[in-house]
Amino acid sequence: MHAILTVFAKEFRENLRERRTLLSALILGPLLGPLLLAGGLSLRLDRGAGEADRPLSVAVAHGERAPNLLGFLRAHGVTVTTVDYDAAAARAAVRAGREHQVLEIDEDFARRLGTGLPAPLQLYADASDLAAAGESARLRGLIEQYSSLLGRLRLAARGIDPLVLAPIAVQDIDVSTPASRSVLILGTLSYLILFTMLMGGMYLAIDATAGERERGSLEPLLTVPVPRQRLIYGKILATCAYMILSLVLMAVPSLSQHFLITSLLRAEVLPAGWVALSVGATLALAALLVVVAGGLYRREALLG
Amino acid sequence: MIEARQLAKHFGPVAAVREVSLRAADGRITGLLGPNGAGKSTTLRMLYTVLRPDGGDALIDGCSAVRQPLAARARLGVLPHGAGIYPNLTARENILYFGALQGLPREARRARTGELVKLLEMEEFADRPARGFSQGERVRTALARALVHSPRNLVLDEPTNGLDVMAVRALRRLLLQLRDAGHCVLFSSHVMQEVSALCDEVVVIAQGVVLEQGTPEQIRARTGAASLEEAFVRLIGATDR
Repeated sequence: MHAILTVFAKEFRENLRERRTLLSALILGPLLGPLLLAGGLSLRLDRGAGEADRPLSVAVAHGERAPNLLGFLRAHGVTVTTVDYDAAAARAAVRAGREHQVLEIDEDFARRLGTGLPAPLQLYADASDLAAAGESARLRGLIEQYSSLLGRLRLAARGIDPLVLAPIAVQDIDVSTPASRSVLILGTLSYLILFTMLMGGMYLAIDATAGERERGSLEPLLTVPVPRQRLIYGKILATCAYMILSLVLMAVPSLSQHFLITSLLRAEVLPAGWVALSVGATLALAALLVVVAGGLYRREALLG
Repeated sequence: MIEARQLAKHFGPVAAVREVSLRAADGRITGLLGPNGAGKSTTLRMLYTVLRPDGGDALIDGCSAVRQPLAARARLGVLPHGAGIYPNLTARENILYFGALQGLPREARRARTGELVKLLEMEEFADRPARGFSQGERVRTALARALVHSPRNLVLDEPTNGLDVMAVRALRRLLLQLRDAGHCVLFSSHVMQEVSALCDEVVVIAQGVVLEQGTPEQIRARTGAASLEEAFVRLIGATDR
């Protein structure tokens, strides 16, 4: 037992002086996971927001054949430009990226619409272009809205209740609560915790085994009168200590903030102890980062 | 006292040590002399119990290296080839760590480390991290580490490798001092001057077999050579034929 503790104490202390171990255990471990999560979230938010806000524009060939449809689109904020393409030219323009989408009104459009037959339209878009695919889906949505409006008007004109066309109405009822939604985030968090512990212990584990051999200090170590397994137990213990250090730095601030936010969402009373723990842990992590920054700033290599 | 009895070790099809028997007595310096690849390091590694012999046994003060490796190790101080030390610890911490692993109580290992720092003239660098040590400083730290538990027997694998003249002389003085205090010193070398300047007893080994054992004079007389080097060349040459 004594030998295990000796090895543990030495590995722990030695690695406190090893910049790579500290960087991995105290900085990368606790911060990389949450940063990745936050980065992924904000990227998704950015993309979602950007798409819905972007003004929709469409180039229309033979717009004079469907003035009411164009009026409807303009009323819904679509910028309509008139172009003079035939089918081949429209195809080429979209493929070359000059237009995101081209709407071609068929010459039969007005006649078929007038006689109550399905009226043909051609929408040219490049489905392999992700940004353009979003736009054409929004445009198609608007055109379908217009189409269903016409349909309902036709039914009403024939004295039929448009509700005839909706025999079934499905209602989505979301029973999730803030707590159950937070389980989703907690699930991600468990991966983060694994990742953090891995980062925390990884460098020490490498350094204490393969590194020891590379440095040539393994052979003298094996000549001390201590059973070999005790030596490795001590090293494993030191690795665990760094993993726990890393975990405490990451998990306590993150988890406590998570619980506080869920409590806030549920409009519960926040226990003062929880708030103190969360604030304390977060500030401790911040203080550690400040100390590290101070140390890095003192280096001679700062000037480059 | 270190005694090897018919030690043998092979790695796959390669027989590194075929049959080595030798005696290194207390109060004497014994040199293990042989060309590169003769099996010197493998023999020493079996003596200090890092390798397990395929055949034979080694006795360290009567403790079997095969059956009581822990007891044997406790009676040995070892300076292995290369002598790596921990770069993030100071020389003193490197020595203290091995003192703790040898089971010395805290006060005893502090006192002993202080003693060794003085003995090996390490005061200047003892409290510096070992990262930037010169070869001489590294070897002295490793030597202090091997001596921390005051072992009766000392095994050194090519200890003078990479040392400058002054460091070699200091090492020689130390080994002679240990011998005069009654320790058993066994070291390997392929440098003739080293062996003839220091050894009371020489064991010549080649291709995993002991060719001669005795004082330098005895070996010279038996081979009929004028110098130890000449005797060595004759012995090695005989195995080639």
